[in-house]
Amino acid sequence: MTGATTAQAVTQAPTALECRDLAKTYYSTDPPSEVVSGIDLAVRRGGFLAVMGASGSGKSTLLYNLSGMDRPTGGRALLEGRDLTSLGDREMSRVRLTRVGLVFQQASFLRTLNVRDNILLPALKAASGKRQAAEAAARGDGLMERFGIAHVGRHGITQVSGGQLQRASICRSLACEPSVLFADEPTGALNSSMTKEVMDALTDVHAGGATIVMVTHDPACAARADRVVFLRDGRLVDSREFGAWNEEEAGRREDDLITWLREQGL
Amino acid sequence: MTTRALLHLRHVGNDLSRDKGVDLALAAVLVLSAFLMATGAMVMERVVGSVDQLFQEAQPPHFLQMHSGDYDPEALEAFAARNPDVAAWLIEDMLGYDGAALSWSRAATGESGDFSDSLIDSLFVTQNHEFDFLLDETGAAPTPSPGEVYVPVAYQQAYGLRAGDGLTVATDTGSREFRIEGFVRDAQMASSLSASTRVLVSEEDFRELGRAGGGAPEIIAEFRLADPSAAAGFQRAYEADDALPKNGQAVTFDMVRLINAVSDGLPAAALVFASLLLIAIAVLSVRFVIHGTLEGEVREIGAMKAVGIPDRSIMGLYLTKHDVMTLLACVVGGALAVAATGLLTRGVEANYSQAPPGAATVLVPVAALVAVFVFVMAVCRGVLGRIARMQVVNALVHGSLLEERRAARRARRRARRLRPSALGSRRGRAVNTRLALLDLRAERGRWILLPVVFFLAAVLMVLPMNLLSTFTGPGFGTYMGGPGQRRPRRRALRRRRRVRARGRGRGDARRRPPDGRALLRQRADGGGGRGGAGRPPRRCGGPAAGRGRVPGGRAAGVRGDRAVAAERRTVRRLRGRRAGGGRRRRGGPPSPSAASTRTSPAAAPPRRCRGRRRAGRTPTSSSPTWRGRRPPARWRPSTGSGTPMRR
Repeated sequence: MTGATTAQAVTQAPTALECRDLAKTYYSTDPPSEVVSGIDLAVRRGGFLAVMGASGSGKSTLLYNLSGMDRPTGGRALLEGRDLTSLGDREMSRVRLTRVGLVFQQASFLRTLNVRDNILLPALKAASGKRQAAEAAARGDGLMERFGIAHVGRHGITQVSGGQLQRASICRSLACEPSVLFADEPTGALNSSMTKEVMDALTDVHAGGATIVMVTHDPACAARADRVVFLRDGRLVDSREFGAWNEEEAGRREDDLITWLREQGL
Repeated sequence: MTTRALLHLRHVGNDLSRDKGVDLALAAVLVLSAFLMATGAMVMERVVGSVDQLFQEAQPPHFLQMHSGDYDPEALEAFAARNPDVAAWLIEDMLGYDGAALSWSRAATGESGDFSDSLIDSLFVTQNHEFDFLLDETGAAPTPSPGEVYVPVAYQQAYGLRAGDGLTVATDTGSREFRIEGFVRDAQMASSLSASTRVLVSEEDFRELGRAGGGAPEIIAEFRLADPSAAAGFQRAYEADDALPKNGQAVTFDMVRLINAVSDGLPAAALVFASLLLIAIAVLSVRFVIHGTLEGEVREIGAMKAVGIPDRSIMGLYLTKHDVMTLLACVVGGALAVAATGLLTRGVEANYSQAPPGAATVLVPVAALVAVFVFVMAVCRGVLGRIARMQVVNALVHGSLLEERRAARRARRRARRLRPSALGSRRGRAVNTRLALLDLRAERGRWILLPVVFFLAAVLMVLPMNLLSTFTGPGFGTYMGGPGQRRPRRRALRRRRRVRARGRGRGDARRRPPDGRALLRQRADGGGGRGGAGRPPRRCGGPAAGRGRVPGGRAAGVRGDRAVAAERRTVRRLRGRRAGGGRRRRGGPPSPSAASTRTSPAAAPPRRCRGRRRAGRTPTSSSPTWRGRRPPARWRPSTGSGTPMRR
């Protein structure tokens, strides 16, 4: 599939994720702080959305509320047409387990389990029987093979590099076959070579048809997305379509993005 | 085994090997808690079972009235006849001797000794034929031949007596020799709180002892009821009848059973108490460890919650370790308890009976261990419940276990505390000290554990010791109204003096002013009732026992006239003015009961024998017990208000 046809397919695809007039206010501070407000956004199935903005602009908060990790104080968040704000805690947890994948800046794993077990843990919890559990294990092993970390599967989590750990985090989030993968600054704590490893992995996932929403500060990472939105003071101020990722146009896309970001005052 | 189960096992194994020191310490406390709880439960079950078994075999009375002095058997017979609850009844005659009057010897080795250091009064009796049997170790009711004696197992244990040893009883008219034929268990007086115990002799020897004098005659009126639960009502009816003998303690079946169970269940109660404190320590420690783990791994937990792993599964990951640890502790503690119970119940089984193991023998300790397990697990679950309340973003981003509203509340509270102690205020200039104090205050929830555990450990050591010392104190039995506390201490003193006087020559005794014994002897010479020749065996009642026939000798002795009553009152007054000496209780340290509130025995008012209390017996340096020697410091009377019981 060429880049143009992929972009066309995405624009015609049904909406995977949507939010309407989304707002989040934290009442634990004195006075309460409104972090995001009035966000209207839609992500088509198979799309790759990058969320950019200055520190404190509400990027991560938006991601938490879209992914069902947190509850918005206003508006609605819909995942595959299902209103997340109407779900109870248990249902929300089930949605996160089966329909949502999450990758964080710091890959958090249990120290009492090796890398493979950490990857398999949510998939095994999601499996309802022996057969499903075996399938989940096979899927996890396949993902580890695909992202080049099969050889460190038996290692403890302190015995592998940050890049490997973040790739393990991607494997963990994909092991349950989610419909949308959320990544919150997945390369924020990595050096450039590890960043490339992780972004290659995410691009590979996207090329496989996955929907991705990624929060990042790094224009080089955001350039991999087919759409970038810009947040300022908790409001969505602009967005830009880039089309499908093409390795040969990477430099030009990055320059375009940086120019656009300068226009936004970043 | 499934992939999921293997993953869980690997997690538990790694979790256990991560903090070995902490886990070992926790496991040790848990094992000790489970061990003590199971041992306490097993010992209690064995004590109750043994007591019940002995009661089943020995058939003690459902109601008994002790009495010293005159009484009217016809009144007793009439009472029994008109009371439909009475299934059987008897009057048991007894001759009481103080330990100083009894000695033993072993011809084969030349060993010998006496019972003068014993608190227990020996009541010589003959075997009953209807109920209230004294039983040997096989459960049979032995009937000794002339010259033979069966002594209580308490003496066997205290003095290492063996069958074949000789027992000598000092009487007014010389010594009487017996051969110890065996040892008997006494359902009524088996308790370690009891200050009396029964010694079994033949009817001929009993009559001989009665004729020889020196023993204090007493009786027990014993009743078996058709409905044992009616004992309380029966007691009220008995007490309401003025014609019946009541100069002594009245005891019901349930009371004897309770005293037996309490006295020998005390170590078990102490074990259970210690176990409860240890469980409290274990639970505090487990709580602290889990809190620490949660706080240390809050981001990992947040990540697990974020990826959608159910709260129950996350809790399960942390709970499994404590599940396994507590389960192992209960198994090990239970196994140790089985071994320990065998050792701890040897004395109980010798004193009472060996109850056959039943369902309760297994169920009671298992229930105790299950209770320990469930309680510890409930506490763990309660602490891990925070995982369910934790908010994903707060845990993941802020590393906080609290949900937003609680976090806000805590922040407000902390802010209020911080304002008056701000570093910039004028109070105190040592910034480091103030920072340390602020830190201590903020983290008091953590460090407070140490003083709390120290406090509980101190209570664990001090309280059981004090409880045991209180329970074994001579005043406790009196307070409980137990049958063992019915004999006045002054009789023991009097007996000792008499034995000594006999050793020095009778002239000494004659030079002393006439005491109660002399007056009684005068009366006995004139009336011939008390302990005189021709004293018959006890009267047996019951439907087919010719109840209430009054033998002539007994009748002569019991027909109370006013002169005799006046003599007795005089005797009591005289006795009341005499000083007493401390004696050692069965199996216990020297009795401090003497350290009573009354420091001057001479100033004591005359007291009645009813409800005979042992308080007010303070040995002093002038007391004849010490024969001019100063008593040990802890036995000397206090100069203040006094301490009635050893603490």
